[in-house]
Amino acid sequence: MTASATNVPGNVLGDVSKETALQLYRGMLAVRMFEERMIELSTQGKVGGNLHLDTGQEAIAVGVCHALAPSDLVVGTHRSLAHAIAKGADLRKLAAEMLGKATGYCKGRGGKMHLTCPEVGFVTANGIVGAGLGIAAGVALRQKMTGSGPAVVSFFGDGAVNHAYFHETANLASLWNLPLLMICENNGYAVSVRADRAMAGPGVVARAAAYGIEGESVDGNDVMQVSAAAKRALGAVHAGNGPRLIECRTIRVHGHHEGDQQHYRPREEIEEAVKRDPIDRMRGFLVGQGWLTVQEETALQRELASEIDDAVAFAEQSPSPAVSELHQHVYGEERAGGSRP
Amino acid sequence: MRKISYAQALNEALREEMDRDPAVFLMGEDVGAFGNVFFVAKGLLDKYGPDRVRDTPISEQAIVATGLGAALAGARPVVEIMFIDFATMAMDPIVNQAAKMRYHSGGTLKAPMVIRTQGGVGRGNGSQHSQSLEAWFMHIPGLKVVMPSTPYDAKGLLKSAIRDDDPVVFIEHKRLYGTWGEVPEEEYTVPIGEAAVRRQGGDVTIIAASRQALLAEDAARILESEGIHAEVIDLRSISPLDRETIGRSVRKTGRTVIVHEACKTGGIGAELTAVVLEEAFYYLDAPVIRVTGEDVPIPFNADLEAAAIPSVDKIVSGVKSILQS
Ligand SMILES: Cc1ncc(C[n+]2csc(CCOP(=O)(O)OP(=O)(O)O)c2C)c(N)n1
Repeated sequence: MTASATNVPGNVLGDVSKETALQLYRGMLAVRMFEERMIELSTQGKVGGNLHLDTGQEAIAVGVCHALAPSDLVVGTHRSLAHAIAKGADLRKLAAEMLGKATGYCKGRGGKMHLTCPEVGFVTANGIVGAGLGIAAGVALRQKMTGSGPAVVSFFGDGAVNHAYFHETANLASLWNLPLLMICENNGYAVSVRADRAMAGPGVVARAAAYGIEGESVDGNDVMQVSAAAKRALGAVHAGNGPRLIECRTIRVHGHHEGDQQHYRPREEIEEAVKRDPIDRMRGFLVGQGWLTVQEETALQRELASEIDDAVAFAEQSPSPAVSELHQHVYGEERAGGSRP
Repeated sequence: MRKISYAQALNEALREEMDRDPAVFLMGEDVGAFGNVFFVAKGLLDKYGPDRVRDTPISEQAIVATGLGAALAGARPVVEIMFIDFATMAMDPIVNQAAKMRYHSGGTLKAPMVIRTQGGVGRGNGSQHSQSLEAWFMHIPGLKVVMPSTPYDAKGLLKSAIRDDDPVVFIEHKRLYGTWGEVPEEEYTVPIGEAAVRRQGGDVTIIAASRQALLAEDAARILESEGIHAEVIDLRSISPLDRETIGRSVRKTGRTVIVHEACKTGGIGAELTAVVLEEAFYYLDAPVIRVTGEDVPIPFNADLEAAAIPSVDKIVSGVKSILQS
C-alpha cells in the first residue's frame, strides 16, 4: 500500500511503504526517548559534561541513516547521539559510555562528544566543530583508494560551514571525487549566534556548488523527505560521481546544551519549532494513513522505554574504569620494534 | 659501507615501505612531480603513480585530517607539512584529533600515520620558515616525536615510524638533507624511543637531538683534544624519551649540558632538565646548563641568524663553564 502525496505534509515522496514509515517513526522515537532519559540522568549528576541534544532534529539522523547500506560509514559531531542511535548503536554500550563506565563504547574515555561505535560503522563523533568533515574525507579517500564501496556520511551544523575545515574538505573531496555525503544540519544557530549573522552569501548549497559539489536543500523536519534526498545523493555517491551535499533545514528546540536558557532567542521561534516537531508530524501521517493506532503507539513507547530501562540499568550496574588503567590506550601496546643489520 | 645523503636515505625508506605495504601512501604539497622541496620524494610519483603520491592543495588542515581519516580506515599515510611553521595551521588535526583517537575511543581506533615535516634554522629563511616547534608536540600525549640526525637514523627511524600504529611527528632538519653518511643496503630499522650514545666520556653529558647532536659531537672532539671527555647523547626521539640512557649517563658524569636549536623558554631543555633532576639529582656536581636558541624570532640577517642559535663554540664554552662550577 502506498500513500498519496497529498496525505503527506510537505512530502515529495508519495510512495513510502507502511513498514518503512513505521521504521522511521520508531527510529525518531528511540532517539527522543533515549535523550530524554539522558536529561534525567544528567540532572541526577550521573552524566558528565554538556548535553547537546537533537530534540526536534531527529528526522535528519534517522532519515539519512535509514538510506544507508549497513557498510556505509558515519562521522558525527558534538551533537551526535542521534547519529549513533540511528546508525544502530547498541543502547547498552551507549548508555554506559554516557555514564563513563568501563563497559561503554570507549571504556569511559570518550563520552558523548568523542563517541566511537565500530561495529555499526559510526566512526567517531567530535568535540571540534568542522573537524569531522576532514576525517570523513580521509575515510572516503581510503574507500576510494581501495575501491571498497561504502560511502561516508559526514554530519555537521551550519556553524561548521564557516570553518576552514568545510572549505578545505569540500575542495579536496570534489577534486578527488571522494565518496562523501555531506549532511548539513542547519538548525539556524551556532550556540547563540544566528546563522544569518554568521554566514555571508547565498547559503550552504551555493557554497558546495562553488566547489563543484551538487547539493539540495530539504525540509529537515520531514523524515521522508530527508530519507528520499539521502537515497538520491547516495545513489550518485555510490556510482562514483563524487561528493554530494544535502542541507537539512530545521530549528533547534532546546538550548545549545541542556541548561542553556536561550535568553538570546524570541519565545515565538521556539514555539514555532515545537509546532514543527518531526515526530508529531510523522505520527499524524501514520495515524492519517491508518497505519498506527493509539494502542500500537502505546505498545511501541512501552517497548522502547523498556529497552532504554534495560540499557540504563546495565550502565548503572557497570563498573567505572579502573584508575590504575588511566594510562592505557595512550599508545598502542606494541611499541615499534627495531632491528639492526 | 656505501654513503648516501639524508634526503636519499629518507627517499629509500619511503620507497621500501611503499613496496612492502600497499597501504602506505604519500600526500602533501609538491610531493608529486616536484618530489618535495628537498627532493625527499624524488622519483616516487613515477614509480607509484598519482594515487599513492598525492599532490594536495595548500590546505594543511585537510592534509592532516584526511590523512588521519584514511589511517582510521586502514591506510598508513605519510603526510607532509612542508615546513614545521605551517603545522600551526594543522594543530587541530594533529593535537586534538590524531593524538587523541586511540585514547578517547578506549583503544578501538588507531591512527597509524606519519606527519613528516622539517624544522630548524636554514639559510636566511627568516622567522616564518626556521622554527623549531618540537616542544609543542612533545607536550602532547598520544604523539610520538622523532628527530633524526644522520642518514642511517633517518632511514631506519622513518621505516619504524611508518610501521608504528600511533601517529608520529617526524621532524627532519632542513640543513641535514645534504649531509652524507653510511647506510647499509640491507633491510634494517631503528627503534623509536632509544637514544644513541655517540661518544663515551666521564666528565660531562651533552644531550641533544637532530642537527644539534652533530654539533655536540664536534664540540666533544674539540674538548677531547683539551683533555675533557664528554659523553654525547643523541636523543633521536623526544617522545618517547629515553630517560634510562640520560639517567645512566648523568649518574656517571655528574654534569649535564643540554643543547637545542629552539628558543630557550619552554623548550625541550626545560623538560630534559627536569628529567635529569628526577633521574640523577643526588649525582649532580653542578647545575644543569642549557645551550639553546635565543628567545627571538629567527632573523633574516646571516650574522643575527647565527647568533640566534647554538654553535660548536657555544657548546664548548657551555661545557667549560660547567666544569668550572
Ligand atoms: C573549533 C571549535 N570552535 C568552537 C567550538 C565551541 N562550540 C561547540 S558547538 C558550537 C556551535 C556549533 O554550531 P553548529 O555547527 O551550527 O552546530 P549545532 O550546535 O547548531 O548543532 C560551538 C561554537 C568548538 N567545539 N569547536
